Amino acid sequence: MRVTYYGQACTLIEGAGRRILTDPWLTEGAYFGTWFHTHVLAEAGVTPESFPRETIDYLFLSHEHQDHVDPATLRVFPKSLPVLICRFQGGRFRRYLEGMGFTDVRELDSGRTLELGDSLSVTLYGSAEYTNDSAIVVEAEGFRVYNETDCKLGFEDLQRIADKGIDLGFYMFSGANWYPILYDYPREERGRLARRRRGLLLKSFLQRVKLTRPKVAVPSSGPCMVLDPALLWLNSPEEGIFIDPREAVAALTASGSPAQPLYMAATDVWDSARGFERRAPGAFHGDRAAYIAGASARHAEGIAARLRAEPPAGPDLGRLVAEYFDRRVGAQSPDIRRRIGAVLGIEAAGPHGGSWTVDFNAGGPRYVREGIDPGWTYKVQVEDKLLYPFMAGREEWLEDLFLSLRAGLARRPDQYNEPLYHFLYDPDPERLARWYATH
Amino acid sequence: MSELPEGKPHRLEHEGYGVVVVRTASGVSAYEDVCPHAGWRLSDGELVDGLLECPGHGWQFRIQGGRCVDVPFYCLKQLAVTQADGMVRVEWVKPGKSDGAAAV
Repeated sequence: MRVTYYGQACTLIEGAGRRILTDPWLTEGAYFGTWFHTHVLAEAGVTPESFPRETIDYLFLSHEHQDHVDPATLRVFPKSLPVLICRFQGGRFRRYLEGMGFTDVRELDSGRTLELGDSLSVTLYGSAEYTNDSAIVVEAEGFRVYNETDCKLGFEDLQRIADKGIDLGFYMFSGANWYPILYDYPREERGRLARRRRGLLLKSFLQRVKLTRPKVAVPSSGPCMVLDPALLWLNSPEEGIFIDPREAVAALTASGSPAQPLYMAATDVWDSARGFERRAPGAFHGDRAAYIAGASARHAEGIAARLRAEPPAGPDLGRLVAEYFDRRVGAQSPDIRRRIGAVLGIEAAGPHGGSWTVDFNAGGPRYVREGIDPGWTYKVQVEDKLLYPFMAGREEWLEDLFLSLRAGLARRPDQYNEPLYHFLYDPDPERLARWYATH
Repeated sequence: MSELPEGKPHRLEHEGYGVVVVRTASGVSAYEDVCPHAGWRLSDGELVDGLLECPGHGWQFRIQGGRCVDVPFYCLKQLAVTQADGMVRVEWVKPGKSDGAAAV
């Protein structure tokens, strides 16, 4: 069995004469130009066009995030390729992939093993959370590879995975969202919260390795690099949540874990017969801060050009915001609106910007009004040109706006409103009602 | 009671169910040993700044009452605790039943 790592959650798993590719993100600048790989893949000669996609037998796609499902990468793959996904409630993810043209999307129930012949099998596991996400175990030739992508699995699923006897496991360990870095905390407090978050992420990484008992554990699914010169501080160990993989390797070594920690950079290989094969460029095994500084300098002009080329917002942004939220809030049951209970302020800056309040406590049928209500509980500040494609239906997943790391956020009180997050993530009223009937 | 370490979560098992017992200077609390987030055992976690921290993803819970600090929507299921003659008795109420107890 042979596994080539392509950064983030992308692994090419070869066994029993077949090749399974997981979460191929082979471009740079996901989420509106913000996210780059830990190292720029093209510097290792990897691009969608150069990738030997015709040799792939199966794709596994864990969830819709752009660093896992990249339309620009998937565009070059044959649309008849079997795509394995976990069955998520509502089917939105499947429809999204079918909308890209894939004609053979196979949904597997969480925990179900799919035999692919000649001793090759895959088992997918679905997230314990509301959001779509999934992990994969591939078994072939007597070896088992586990790639958890960035999925938070339930305790019992992790125990079942351990029982399989994992030879090589890929584990998330770095931050990958917007808390606390986008919030309006004073800088010192924000840094304290970010460092706490990093500590918790590393602890969680150690615990998941301990529970699943792999022979070899690879920190993966991050960290991204943010190369926009205006946002470089997000990479800082003192202020950001993106962790150097070698910190995870050191933490696992220090923990006394029987698992062998292994740092794999993009294009490095693990082979069941020969072990680790270093294939990545030398710079991919060098100092992270120095690499980021150099990469930012190399890509700054390209990033600036990309930002300049972003389409402007349309003059109908206000109408679209009202339609978007009135329809989605109004579709919820009174109980779900009460659980969310938020007064959401949206401030869009730019030529067609404006400010609006989405009041989940309003009587309906109108939940959106002009201006920011002084009683707001959550506030989003964003450029009008970033908000517009979501409101106009050109972008599918509103969460991508947050993941762009190009927004400012505030909340009062300073507490996580999970029902609001779930609504923004997927406002499917049936899905929300089912979730909160059991949580 | 003396066998129950202070400041460290302790797991009891009764009829296949887990209970996490936490002893602090202010008393003893007991909860179902399941994090409402992803089902991890809280007894494998630790007390951090007076809060019970889940080992899985770091959610923290108040010792008194079990309310989640990170996601206040969630609360641990608390079990009644009585202390007498150096013994701690946890009243385990299985869903749909009213009997059962585990003691340490």
